[in-house]
Amino acid sequence: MKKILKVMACALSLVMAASVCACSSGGTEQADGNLREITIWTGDSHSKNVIKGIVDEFNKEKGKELGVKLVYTVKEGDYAQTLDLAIASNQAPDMFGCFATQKYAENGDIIAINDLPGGQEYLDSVLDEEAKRTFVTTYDGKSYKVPYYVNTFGLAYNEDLFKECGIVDENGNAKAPETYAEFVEDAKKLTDASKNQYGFILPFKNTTSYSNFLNMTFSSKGTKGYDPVTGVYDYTVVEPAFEAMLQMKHDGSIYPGGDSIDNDMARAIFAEGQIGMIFTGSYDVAVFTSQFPAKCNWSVTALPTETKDEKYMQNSANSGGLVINKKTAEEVGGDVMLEIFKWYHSDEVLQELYEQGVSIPYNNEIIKRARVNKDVHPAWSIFGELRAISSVYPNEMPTDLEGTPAFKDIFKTNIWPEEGNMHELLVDLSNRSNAGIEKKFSVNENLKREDYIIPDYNTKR
Amino acid sequence: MKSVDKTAKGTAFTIRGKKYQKDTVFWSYIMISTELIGFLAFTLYPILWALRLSWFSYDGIPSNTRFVGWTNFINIFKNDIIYWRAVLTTFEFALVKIPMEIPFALFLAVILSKKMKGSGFYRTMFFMPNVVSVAIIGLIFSNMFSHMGVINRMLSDAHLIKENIGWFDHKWTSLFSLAITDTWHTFGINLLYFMSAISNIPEDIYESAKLDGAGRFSTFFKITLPCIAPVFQIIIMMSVIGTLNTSDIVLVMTNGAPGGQTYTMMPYMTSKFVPGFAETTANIGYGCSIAIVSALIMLAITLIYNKFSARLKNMY
Repeated sequence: MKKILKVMACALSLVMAASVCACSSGGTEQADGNLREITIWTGDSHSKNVIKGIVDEFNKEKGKELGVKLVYTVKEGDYAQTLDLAIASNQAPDMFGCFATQKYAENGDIIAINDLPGGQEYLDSVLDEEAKRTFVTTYDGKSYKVPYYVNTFGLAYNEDLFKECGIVDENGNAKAPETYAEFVEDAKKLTDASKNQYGFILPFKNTTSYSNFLNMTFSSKGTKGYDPVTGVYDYTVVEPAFEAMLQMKHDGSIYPGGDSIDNDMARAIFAEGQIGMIFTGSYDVAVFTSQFPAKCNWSVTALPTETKDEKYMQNSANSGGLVINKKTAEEVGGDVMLEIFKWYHSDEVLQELYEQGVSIPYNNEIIKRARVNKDVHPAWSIFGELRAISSVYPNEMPTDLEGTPAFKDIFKTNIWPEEGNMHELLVDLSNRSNAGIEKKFSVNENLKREDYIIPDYNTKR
Repeated sequence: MKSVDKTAKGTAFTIRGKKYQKDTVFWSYIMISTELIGFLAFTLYPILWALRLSWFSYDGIPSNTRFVGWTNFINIFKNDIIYWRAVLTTFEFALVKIPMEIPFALFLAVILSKKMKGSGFYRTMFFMPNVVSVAIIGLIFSNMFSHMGVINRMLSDAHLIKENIGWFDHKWTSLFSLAITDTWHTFGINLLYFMSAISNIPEDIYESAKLDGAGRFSTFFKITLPCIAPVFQIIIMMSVIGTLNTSDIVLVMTNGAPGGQTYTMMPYMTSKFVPGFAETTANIGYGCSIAIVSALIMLAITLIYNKFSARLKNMY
């Protein structure tokens, strides 16, 4: 018996050793010549398949010219934590998407584009005024990222339900609301609680869905509470949008139990076809196509504004883009890394991503010349068109509320349950926020007020 | 006292009158070393880290980190109304949940302790929820209690309600839903503790009581309950600590709904200050000071409970 066990153990060891050898000999260096692997990590699962195809194309031609092979990986789950761990354990990827640019810059984990050979010239060609003052890419006068794609926001509506309830234009097509008043009125018309049919669904369990009401304020007033011209907080600007929301609540036209519903559940309910309207982002086109395929005809429109006469740019959010690992740049060469960086952020790549319904480019000129694939949902092109009337909200002046309730706390605990006077609460929050600016700046000598004030800021459209 | 005794097999130690071989002592330390290292690395170190950071303003960015002294603690006591509301909700949640969980577990334990057919099967089934992930349980129950969920459907089909109930629209219905869900998740372990305590009661006491003509109720209240009192004290203490510590189920199921009114201490802290849940600019230092204050509150409650429940230890 012992003999048999010994033989089996030897055989197993041989098999394992053989498989390890096979693995190591199958590495990319031998298969592709002496190409240096450049690992890229992002959390962009929505664009995984398309980007991988584009990366394969790069590896066939340009990669060989540069002597590199890109290995693109989308990290699912808690991407930020995975990245932190990798950096802390010296296993950071060569290029990666990240939000905490300032942290990695201060720790010397990433290299500024300005410090790469030809980097400054490249930055001058891609950073417009808006990007320079609003995009969170710059720290201590140096840029670590460049604009990549944006998410645009709108109001998705169920065309079938609108037609059924007679909310149509002169041609009989579903007519989406343009103002707060129309929004409230349409939601009321669309609601029939006996059929579990509601005009609007507002999920705010995990996500900050109320921020869409702030976005409506941005479209109507040009600010969401912080005025970049004066550098002063005034949250009372949000009152009309929040009054519209509370009116819908009183009318019973909002799907009940919104604060225990997360965005996924809300989207799934909308997709079933019993909800009239829902706030959406451009990323929702893929959601309503594959994750929760919509059982109704739906479209999207710009966020309603307070009046038809006075409108400002809509809010959009910058996303995506890579930073370069400092060690890799030193090891492989800054010129090579800049070439890869330029390619990844190039108009060609971004146009391909837009045409395939994956990402909306920051640069609106790309959208103008692109032709969206026929199999992409028509709402995608509307989200693309919204880019022309969208801009990124500038950085807000840092403030220290010293443990007192912030805006999202007030929304959850006071505004939505209607506890207390909304105007007084917002005035109090504005005062606390303005007082907190002094506090914040008095203890942090690195902060500069001029970074947060834009004297000529005007987003009127 | 420790003394050394040379024997034929090697050196032996006598500690408090018991004799141990040197090898035994060595291997004992080896055996507990993994647990000890785990405790030092994953419990003690994070506690010390949190203690230190509670005196800092810290959002993860090195240049923003500032020593702020007692400011975080002062802000908790002076300004953070929402935290104290969460503390109050924690007690309210405990008041709803514990009276539901403990009697239910005890009732089932008494039944399953009888020599009945299939008791092993039921014991396993009742314990099963305890090993299911809280996130999954929260998701299932939040769907069950949702506006168009199965609970409303059942009540509606039974003609008990005319309109669907918004379980998460009011504080107490929301707390009730949470208590039911958490009870379903945790009562299985208490059931096992109670069953184990009941099995330790000598059979002859019951036989004597029977001969004396004691009924089922008097047997339960005068024999079973006093005999399991020491275990009962521990179970209630663990239930109190567990309930005060409740976190995941609230985060997954209601996340404070309605209007943050079902936030207990831990979910409030997690949603506002733990990276991954909170905003990227959240002041983690302030969150650490909240964690310290919460831990002290729980410690105080445990000490008070132990003091007032000491009599249970000596009942049998």
